[in-house]
Amino acid sequence: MASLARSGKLHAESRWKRYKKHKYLFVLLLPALFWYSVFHYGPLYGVQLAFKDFRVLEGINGSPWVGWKHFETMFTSTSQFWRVFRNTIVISLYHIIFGFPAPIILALIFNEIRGKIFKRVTQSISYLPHFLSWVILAGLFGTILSPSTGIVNYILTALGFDSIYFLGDPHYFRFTLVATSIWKEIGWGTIIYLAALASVNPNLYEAAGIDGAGRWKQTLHITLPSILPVVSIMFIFKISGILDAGFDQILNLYHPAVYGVADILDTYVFRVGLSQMQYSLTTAVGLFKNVIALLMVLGTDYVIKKSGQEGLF
Amino acid sequence: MKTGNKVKSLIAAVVLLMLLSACSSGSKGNTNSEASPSGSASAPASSSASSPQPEKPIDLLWLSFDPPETDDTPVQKFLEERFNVKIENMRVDRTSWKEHLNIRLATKEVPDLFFMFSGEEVLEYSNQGLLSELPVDLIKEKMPKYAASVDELDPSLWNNAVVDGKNYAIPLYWLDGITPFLPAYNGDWLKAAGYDAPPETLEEYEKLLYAYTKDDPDKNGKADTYGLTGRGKDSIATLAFNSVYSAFGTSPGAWVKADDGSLAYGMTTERTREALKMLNKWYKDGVIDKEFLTTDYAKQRQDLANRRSGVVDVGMWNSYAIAIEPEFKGQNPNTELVVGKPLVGPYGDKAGLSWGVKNNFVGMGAQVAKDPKKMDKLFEILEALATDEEVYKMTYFGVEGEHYDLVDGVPTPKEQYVNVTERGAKVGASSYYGIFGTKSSYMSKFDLPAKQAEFKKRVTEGVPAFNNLLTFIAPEAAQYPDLNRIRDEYLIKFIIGEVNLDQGFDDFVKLWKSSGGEALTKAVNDRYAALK
Amino acid sequence: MFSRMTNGEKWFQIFAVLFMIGISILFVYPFLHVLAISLSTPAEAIRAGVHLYPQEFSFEAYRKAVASSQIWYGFRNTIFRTVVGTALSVFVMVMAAYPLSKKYLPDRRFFTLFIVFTMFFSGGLIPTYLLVKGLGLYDSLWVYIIPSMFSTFSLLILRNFFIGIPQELEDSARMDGANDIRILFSVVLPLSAPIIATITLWAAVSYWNEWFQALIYVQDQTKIVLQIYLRRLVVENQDMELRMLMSQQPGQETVTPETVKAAVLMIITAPIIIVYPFLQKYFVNGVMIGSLKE
Repeated sequence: MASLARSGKLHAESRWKRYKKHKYLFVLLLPALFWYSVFHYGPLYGVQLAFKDFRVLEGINGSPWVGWKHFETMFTSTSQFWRVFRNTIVISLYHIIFGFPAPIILALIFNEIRGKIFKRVTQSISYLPHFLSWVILAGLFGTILSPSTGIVNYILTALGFDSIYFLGDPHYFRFTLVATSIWKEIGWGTIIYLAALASVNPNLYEAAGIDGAGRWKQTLHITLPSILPVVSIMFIFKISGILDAGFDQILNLYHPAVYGVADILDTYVFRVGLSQMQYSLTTAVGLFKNVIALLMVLGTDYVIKKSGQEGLF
Repeated sequence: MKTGNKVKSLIAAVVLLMLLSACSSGSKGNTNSEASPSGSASAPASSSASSPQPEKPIDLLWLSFDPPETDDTPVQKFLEERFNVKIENMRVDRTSWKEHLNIRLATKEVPDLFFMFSGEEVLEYSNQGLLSELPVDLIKEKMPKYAASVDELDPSLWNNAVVDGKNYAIPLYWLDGITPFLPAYNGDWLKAAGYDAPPETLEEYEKLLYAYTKDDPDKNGKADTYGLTGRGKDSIATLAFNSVYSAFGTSPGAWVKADDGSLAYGMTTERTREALKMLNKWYKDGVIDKEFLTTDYAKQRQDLANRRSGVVDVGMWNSYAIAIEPEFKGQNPNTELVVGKPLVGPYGDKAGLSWGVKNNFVGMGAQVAKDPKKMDKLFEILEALATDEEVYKMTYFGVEGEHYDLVDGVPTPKEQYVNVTERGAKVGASSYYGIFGTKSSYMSKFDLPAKQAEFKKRVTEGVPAFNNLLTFIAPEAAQYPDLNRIRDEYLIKFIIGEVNLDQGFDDFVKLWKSSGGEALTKAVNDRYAALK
Repeated sequence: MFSRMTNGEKWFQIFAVLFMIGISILFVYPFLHVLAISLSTPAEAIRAGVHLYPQEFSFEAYRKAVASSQIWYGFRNTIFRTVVGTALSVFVMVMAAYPLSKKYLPDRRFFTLFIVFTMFFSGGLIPTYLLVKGLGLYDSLWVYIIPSMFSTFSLLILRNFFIGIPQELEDSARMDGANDIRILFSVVLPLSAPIIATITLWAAVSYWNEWFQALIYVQDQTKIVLQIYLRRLVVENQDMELRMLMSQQPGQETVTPETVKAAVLMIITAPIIIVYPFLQKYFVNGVMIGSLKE
């Protein structure tokens, strides 16, 4: 807010002058401003629904206010809210800790491979799983991970281990969620990092090579710092999704035996499907998630900016 | 926060926009005409009015599933001519019915003919003031023949759409609903275990399942067969292991009659405890496939066809005839799939679990109540759909010769019209206009080709069935979302032995009661008593 | 090339290649499985075991999919939407990201907040529906493009990338008399090829796959998109049993829900897989060096 503070004392006329000075920038920016106003701020009044009981015939504005009722319902209608909330956070953390670095590492490996054709082919193959839907994958993984007939356990038992009921055992379910999710998204996730790597100035590498730095040192001192801006912002986005935890995947893979560890906010709301027109409750839950996301993002943004990187704001 | 001129005007634009949108959402909505009474009284009569003027067609906004793709199908034309109406088709996508419909309703598009899948929807929409009240007596008066068939089949159907003493929809029934789920066995394995006929008692069943598991019935030298598996993933409380529960006269997910005549929740009864003890024993002995936790309908059928398990109990007669047997035969061309009867348990219970005749509902949008002519017209059409052979055949099958042929008096759709959704899309002949398709006793003779009718008779005649007795609307059920979850989680724990069935079961019942189960039971029983 | 590497680097290459081959198998196998299922007869589809290729072959699922003329409407509309939408979308997003990346943009903080705020708070489905209808976009092909023209996510990625471009390059162009717009197009864009390729890819895939908006805003059956048609196909064949019951025919089905789902997935994914390799060249390092030498 520094620039605004500085300009706080300036006359409105000066502001207009500055806008004029950079008029081309505004020409470029205008379509976006217009679009966001119409399509995002226009419907924004709908947020009220989280605090109202939606009556169809009266519309959003005519519906009666109920204050925090839906939030209370959310927190108290089930003794399980905190369990569900905890599951959401824990699973998200697993996704962040293991799922976030994975595509970065893979991208770095891709980057190092010399054979051009080999590189292109394997890279194209890597994003195939991204397009398979969880509806189909549920069946597929059910077979592959079966404790009795699945190939994974076949290998495990051949190596002398006990077979593991990956999808059925609550102790392994979260692990399975994260592992399969990484498998699915890692290839597609490398794309942005490959783009970042492609934009690194090759002269830097040449210069370092001349100075005698090996590939590893180059990676450490040139590559990683160069892609840090992209990594930072991707990280912020990942954090903002902390209350999401992968609804689609969990919905298709979970079952009563693992509710205890895998029931997340979204699956709970979905399953319970309360008789009321669940519109208002869904809006309330959505609002709750978004507020938390915002707080997380603000926090992460602060940390990232403190470490010298460009943040979100 | 100080803002520059440009930004100020931007904000003004935004505010203006918001105001505009706010205004439009409060107004009567974008689609008109259904909201306004379109009585024929306002029909412009031509000046030369010597002969009786044809009445202006009544506009109907029609909602059901499996809609036609276009607005000029032969069925629509037929209905419009026959009943002098103008139908506007409301199409809601089946894959996201609720969301899609809610949006339309929220923008004031309320159908005149309002199809609803469940009692919950009747409750929801009546609470929102979107449905016309349809007193049962009025229905009986306007649709006498259909009402008579309801009375004959099961008068308690009239209770299913009642909210706070008022009725809001016409109940549909499902004739097959009274037929129970039946166990079906891999024929070769039966013989290998020494049975010429399927087991009749629970004891025999148990012996058979153990034989299936321990005695290598498929003779491949591997211990890879199981007696029984269940749908632990998608129907743990209702369909999984129903063959065992029904032998004890119970079902964990249903409301059953307690000894004193009141309703008790299946999961909390002593009979269920006993059934679970048996299941637990089987699980420990390896007779139940440990992977039942992640088994759904598709997998259970797959397991049967691939000779992993030897029994399946989640089929009704029609599933076996039409889907499960052909699938089984695909992998086992020389083996018979033997359909048996529900097992007789230690207390003499021999009824199988069934869905009951309760089915969907047809309501009328709230605006219809203000338009008696429209309401009468709708009743007239509905009665014809259910009881007039010509109308029924047309709206459900299409044009004879063009879309179907009569084989022994049973309409048999031509190849490209066999799939009823496709038929509806192209021709308009489906449950969309044919609301009572396969759901009318008068038309049941059209339901089944001879071969299937025979099969049905063979496996279900004389076979008793029971069903969930909570068929009426109980809004309280929504207030205790924990109950189903607790039930499901504990079912698993009991079967795999994580919680014992003595003190553990008692504790479960206490937990269930204190999580709202007690209150729910009381509410359900109060309503039940009031219905008698 | 191999000889120029140190021992450590050689080992790394070997490890990397083996590793890539290994995980490529992991990536490819499920895809082949689905492809095999899509080409299987019902009996073959339900068979337990490995499915790398169909042991009993059947084109039925695909035949069913293309039987209706709707699929061609779907293709046509989806291609229109993807091509026009992506072009438009990338164009406006690049335009907007540039000013936001300039520290000297007046009230920059405000505008950024204005946009980012929308990531967290939205009015929901009903007001949006009313708005779109009110704008006359109902049953129009533009409803597929305009309401989803901006992705805040992509916008911010672009912006952050633009921030990273060295100021000197722009300054030299400015000294030659170029204004902001010219700088954007002649200096910044060429340097940003990989990122823009990424954004383009994301936008294209998003437009290609999106279906819910198509569902609720379009009644006219000639204006549906591929995804809608295919989803319907899956659902029609999903409750297959129910359908068969209603149609009262014994199981002479030539497809199963699984084969249909698989075929649908293949149809939807194939075009993307075909097009992607053409974009790959942008993800190669060195694009920048070309423009630097100018």
